[in-house]
Parts: sequence; C-alpha cells; structure tokens
Amino acid sequence: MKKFLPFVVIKEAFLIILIGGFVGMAANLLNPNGIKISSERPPIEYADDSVLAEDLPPVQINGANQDDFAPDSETAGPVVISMAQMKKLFAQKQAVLLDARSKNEYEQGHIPGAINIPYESMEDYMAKIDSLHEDKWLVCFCDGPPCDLGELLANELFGMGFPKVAIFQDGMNEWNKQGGKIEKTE
Amino acid sequence: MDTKQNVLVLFLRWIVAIVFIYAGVVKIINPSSFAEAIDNYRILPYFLVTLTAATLPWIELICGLLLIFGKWIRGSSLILILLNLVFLFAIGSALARGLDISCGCFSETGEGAKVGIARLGEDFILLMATAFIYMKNILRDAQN
Repeated sequence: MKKFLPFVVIKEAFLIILIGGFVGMAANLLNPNGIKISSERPPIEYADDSVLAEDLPPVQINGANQDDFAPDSETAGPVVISMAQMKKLFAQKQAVLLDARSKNEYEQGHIPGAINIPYESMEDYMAKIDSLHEDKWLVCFCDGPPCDLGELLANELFGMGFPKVAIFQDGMNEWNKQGGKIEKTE
Repeated sequence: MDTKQNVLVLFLRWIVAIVFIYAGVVKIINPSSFAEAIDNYRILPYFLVTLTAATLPWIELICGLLLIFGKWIRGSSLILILLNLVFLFAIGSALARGLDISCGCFSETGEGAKVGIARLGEDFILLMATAFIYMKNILRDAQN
C-alpha cells in the first residue's frame, strides 16, 4: 500500500486541495458574478411582467449588451417566467409552448396545445423549429427542476436568433401540482 | 522506462492536463451555472454544492497546470483519479435515477452536454489515462 500510495503523494494532494480551495474561495469573493456560499437554494427569479408586455420597446436585462450577439432580440437572453405568466401569454395567443422532453414522455401526457421539440434530438425537428413565429414567445419547459432540458432548448433557440424566448422553469411538475389539464397522444 | 513509454506518458499527461484546464476554466468563468449543474444531480446538500462550485474548478485547473509543468505529478494525478471516480458515480447515479440533466462537465449548453452513456465512457477513458500516469510515475520513483 505504502508503495502505491506514499505519504509524500498524499501530502502533495492535500496541499493542492488546500491551495485550490483557498484560491477558489478568494476568487469567488472577488468575482462580482461569484456564487453565494449558502445552505439555502436561491428561489427562481421570474422575469418582470413588463418584459413580457406586448408593446413595450426592447429591454435590457442585467445590463447585458444585447447588440453583441442578438441585435433583434427583446431581451439579453431567455427569460424565466412563472406558470401564471406562461398561462397568460398562452391565453393571449402570444406564446407557443415547447415541450423539450422526449417524444415518449410527451405522448404520455402534455399540456394541451404544447408542441414537442425534444432537446436531445433537436436536429430531427428543424422543420418544426423553422416554422415557429418570431413574433411569439417561445416558452420552453420540461419536467421542472432538476430537469434542465427546457433551459437548454431555450438557449439553443435564442442562439439561433429567435428574439422572444422564455423558460417555464417550474415545468410539468408545477403544471400537474396545480391541476393543469393533460392531453395524451394516442 | 523505455523512451516509447516515456513519450506515451508525457503525451497522456498533456492530454489529461488540457482536458482539466479547459474544464476548470469554463467553470471558473461561470460559477453559478456550474453550481446549478451540480445541484441538478441532487446528491449534495446545497451548502456543499456552492462550496464545490467555488473550489473544484480551481483544483481542476491547478492539477492540470501541474501536469503540464511536470510538478507534483503523483499528487495531482491522484486527485484527478479521485475526481474522475466521483464524476463516474455522479453521472451513473443520475442515469440510474433517469434524471434529464446536463452533465456540467465542460459547459452548460451544446451538443452532448447531457448526462448519458457517452459521458460515462469519456470519464472512464480519462480515469484510465490518469491512473496510467499515476502508476507509471509511482513505479518510476520507486525504482529510483
């Protein structure tokens, strides 16, 4: 054992972890975008309703410079919306709901009116993606935390140039919890 | 060790080093999305999630740099072996639980970012390469 794991090696490893830990904590403290060391998971921050209003001029979020990468976008990236915001947008026919889960999961039960674009096989759904209207909010979702397929799909769509992309982060779990209707595909 | 083996170990060392330097830097640039990625695995309590997100990328980066410069090779490769084992366990458990999450290995978006068999395979190859570097250096030093 001593031959394969000499004390000096354990000492080296221990020192590396110590230095890495110290530098990491210091860098995190100095980093304005650093994370808060805490035992409390931060709550989901939903976009302000004004971001979703139909006739307002484009807004900037978090001071990001939208001109750099998406000149026509309304926001600096996909915005996170609540279930109430999602329902309102959908009822006002301002949104298209995009279910990022697998085809199988979608068929077993989905929000009525939602379109299935599985993130994992996005390339097979390009025709569907191309047919999406740029003037509508594309609301992406999956099961809800910890699933992040909705967020990944939203990032992809925003990167493809869709200007109004939203993430319904609470996803199907919240929809079911609140007794939302479910449609099955036969 | 003969020259051929020396070259192989050096080559592997650099490959592993570049992989971990890249992985570290990507996570250092965006610590909050790395924290989110760790949290999505639902393995650690949130306090340890934040602590890991702040420190782990720097440990990866330091280990990578040490491997490049040929210092403390055994210590850094030992850490990387342990890290790869942890990653294998985390990805394996996420797969077993059917979690639809991104790996958090290198970046948050893009093709192949999701946990899956491919990620397990990549990790296993990295583990083997790192273990080879460790053993070769341990045996060489034992001979000297």
